Amino acid sequence: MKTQYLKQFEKYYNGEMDPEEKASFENSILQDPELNSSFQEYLSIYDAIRDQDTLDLRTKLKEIREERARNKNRPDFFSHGYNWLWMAALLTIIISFTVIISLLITKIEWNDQVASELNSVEVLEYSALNRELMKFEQRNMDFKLESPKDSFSFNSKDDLLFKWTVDSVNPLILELIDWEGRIVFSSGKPAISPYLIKKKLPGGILVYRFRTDTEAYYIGFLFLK
Amino acid sequence: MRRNDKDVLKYIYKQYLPMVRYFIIRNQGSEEDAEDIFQEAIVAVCQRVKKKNLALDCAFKTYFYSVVRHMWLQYLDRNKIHYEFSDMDEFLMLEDKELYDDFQTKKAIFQRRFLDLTDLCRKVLLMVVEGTSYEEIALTLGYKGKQYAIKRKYECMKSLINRVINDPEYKRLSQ
Repeated sequence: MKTQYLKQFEKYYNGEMDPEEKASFENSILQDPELNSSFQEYLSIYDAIRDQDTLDLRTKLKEIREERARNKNRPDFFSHGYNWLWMAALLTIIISFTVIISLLITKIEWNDQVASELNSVEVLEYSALNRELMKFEQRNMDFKLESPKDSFSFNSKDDLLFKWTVDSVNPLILELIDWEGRIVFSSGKPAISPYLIKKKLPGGILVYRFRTDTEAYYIGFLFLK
Repeated sequence: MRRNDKDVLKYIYKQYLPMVRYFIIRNQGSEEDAEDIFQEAIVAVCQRVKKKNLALDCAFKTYFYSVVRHMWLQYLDRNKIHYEFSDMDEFLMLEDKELYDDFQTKKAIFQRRFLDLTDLCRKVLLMVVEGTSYEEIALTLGYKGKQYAIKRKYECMKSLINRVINDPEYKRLSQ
């Protein structure tokens, strides 16, 4: 097909030739195989355009092919250098986020640790003393303490006088226990009222206990300065 | 396929393009050749489904592969490329003489190049083949008059023919 014939073909196709010109053109087509071949192809173009169904199919196939090519050529965020600014911004956000989260976790852990330490001290102190006191069953007896009666605070250098009455024939042992559950004084043998402790005792809160071999009859607190 | 449903076409693309690509590249073709042949095979199969009420007594995949194989053989013959075929699947020997012959190939080129034209050119040429008068074309497209519509149509046709004669496949066919 050659474009040199196009003006002639168009004039013929559009019906713009006068009868004489038209007859001459039709005669040329019969005589000239090259012109004839070109004209047949020219007409084939119209036939191809007239096949609307196939054109519609080709349009869709072209669209799919272009979509696929676009997706194939779409820049991959992480593999292209020209996205460095976005990557830098993303990295900054990730690092900031990580730091904030780490700080939050550290703070929570520290709070937990402090709380745990405080609790554990209380539990330890309570547990040690409690364990010691729980060794003997508490029993309600008609035990009356006369000394020390209303006083709570004493000087650790002074002697400590205990006086009591009890409606029991069982011999009682007098003991002093510190806050950590350690027995800092024991009468050893059964104590008889009045009982004077002359030994120098450690300062702080002490628990005194009157007990038999199996039962505690009385428990009280005092503070030695 | 009868309705040129785009979703069906996408499905065919997804299902069969890898197979066609593998086959064509293994047999002296390129990625571009594979996509071209694949599209022409879809067009050919759709035309046969619509016009010839194609009834298959084998799997669609086998038929589609056979069409692609037939077309690629013709392409290699047409381009005088020596080949030792390497098949990858079972296939049918198709007796369909119209399948990808010179006439069909030229028609495909005309249609593909027509789709490359501008929207306005496509519209003018479509109106002409539909038998719309130049006066009406001028009126519809807002041209000054019939003569300008004729001039525009000539320019569009010239553009289309230039695209066709510069098409590599058309050049090979015309040798």
